[in-house]
Amino acid sequence: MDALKEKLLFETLQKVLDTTATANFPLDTIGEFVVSDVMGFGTTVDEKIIGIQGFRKLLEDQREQSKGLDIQFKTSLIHRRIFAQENAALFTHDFTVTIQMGNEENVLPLRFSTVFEYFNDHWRLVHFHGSQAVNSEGDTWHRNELIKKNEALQKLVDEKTADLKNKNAALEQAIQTIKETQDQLLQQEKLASLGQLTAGIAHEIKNPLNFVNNFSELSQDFIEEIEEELEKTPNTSEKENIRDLLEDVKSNLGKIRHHGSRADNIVKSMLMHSRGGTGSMDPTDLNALIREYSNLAFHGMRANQNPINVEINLNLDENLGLIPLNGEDFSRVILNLIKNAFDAMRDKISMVGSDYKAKLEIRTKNLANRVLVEVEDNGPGVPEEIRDKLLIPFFTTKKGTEGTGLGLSITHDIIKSHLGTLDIESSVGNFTRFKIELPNSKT
Amino acid sequence: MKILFVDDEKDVEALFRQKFRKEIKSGEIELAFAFSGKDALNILGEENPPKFVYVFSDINMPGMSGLELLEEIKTRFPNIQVSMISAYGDSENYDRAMSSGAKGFFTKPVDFERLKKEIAEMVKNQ
Repeated sequence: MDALKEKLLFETLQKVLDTTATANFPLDTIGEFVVSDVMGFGTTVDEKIIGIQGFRKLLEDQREQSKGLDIQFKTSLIHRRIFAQENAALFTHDFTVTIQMGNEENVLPLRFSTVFEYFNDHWRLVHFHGSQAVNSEGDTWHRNELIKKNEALQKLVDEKTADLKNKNAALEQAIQTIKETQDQLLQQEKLASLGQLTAGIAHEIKNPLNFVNNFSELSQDFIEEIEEELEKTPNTSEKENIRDLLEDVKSNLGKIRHHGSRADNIVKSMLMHSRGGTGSMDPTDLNALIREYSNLAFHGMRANQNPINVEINLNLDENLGLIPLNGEDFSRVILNLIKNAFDAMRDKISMVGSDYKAKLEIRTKNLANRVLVEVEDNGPGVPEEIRDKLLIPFFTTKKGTEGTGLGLSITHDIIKSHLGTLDIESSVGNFTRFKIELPNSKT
Repeated sequence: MKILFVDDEKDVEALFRQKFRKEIKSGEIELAFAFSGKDALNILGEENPPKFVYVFSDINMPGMSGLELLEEIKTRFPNIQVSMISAYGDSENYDRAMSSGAKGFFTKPVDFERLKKEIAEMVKNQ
């Protein structure tokens, strides 16, 4: 290329660069070095310039936006190419814009390509492309950036999902709790109606039982009178025979009377349990109460579903004396603890098999100012982590509606109302021991 | 002395007649039995004034209850003593019976010694 043509080319290139970099570049002159159908891309979406008016508008906008800003431009040529026949040329520049804002310096790295055409002794700009270098090295198609964005989104989604899952689990837990509570309420409702039924049945049994007892007692009296009358008659072998027979009848009546009063005692305890207690504390033979209720609990268990074989040992301190107790309430404590022991040992039988021999021991002991009652079974034991929870109302390890979760909490309440304490000792696989301490009559 | 027992259980009659056999035989007392409140009021209403001195009544009976009967007797025959005999010895029944003018309150199963004492006392005061 001859020197003049080359000089013209560089002058034209410089003018194009100056349109942006020089503050007061005379925009009216751009027609001299820009073709009328110039086409160019800027860095932003809307910078798609077609025609010289568009190019001018771009320059005017830049000038408008630069007002009051301290802007420095720096260009450095990267590459140039003169096309065949030397009528077209391509330049690429790094175009660094530095904007000073207060103490802060913002550097905007731009890339700028320009294409010129030589026609009628003039070089004119036909195409330009400016773009901003973004910090996405080795990421031609913004793939990594997209992946990063995706990952961030995924993370957000995961977090939200985990959050929802937690909330869901909490809700499920709440629903489960409600269901269990419902079952327990139903169970209590059943128990309450069973209590009423028991009271009704007990009363209905009590009346005929009274007749059995009264008539057998009367008949015993009458036989004694008959015997007295009989003694007044002369002795014969028939009289001997009658006397023997009367003796047998009298003994039979005694048996009817004895078993009648046994039944009467059972009915009385049924009534005592279905009725609310009177709350009064009376001096009570605690050993007798334990004997009676361990017997009732055992026979109750044997008469119910899934009876088990249990060896029951009563180790009762005969020096206990009379203990101030509310018999109705405290019998419930004994029944509950024994029933729990039976249930636990039943579980162990189904786990371990028939080699295991279920044993229940109930002890009483006179301490200085207190009495100790221990109910100990050799069942599966209570794991330490749930030992504290045993006394909480509605806490139960029993499945479904087998337990209300109220037994031990009621037991504990009754013991507290007797100014006593309840402690639980246990070794998993070996034993569970409930220890009750109560004030004795001296306290 | 005429005593009326009111109970819907018919075997009560045999039981009480046997229990008080000696007293009946000696003519100390004369027993009558009614099996409902209405029945009892009919028996008491047969004579005017009735010869009965004492009425023992069960509380839980079909139809008229013992407590209703007590009130009725106390209104119509204020001179007749009435005691209740009930399997339900709760304070509610007891309080209502006593405030309605019952002389005594016996729980089932009946303590015959106490009952005999009560009747003997009444006979002595005749």
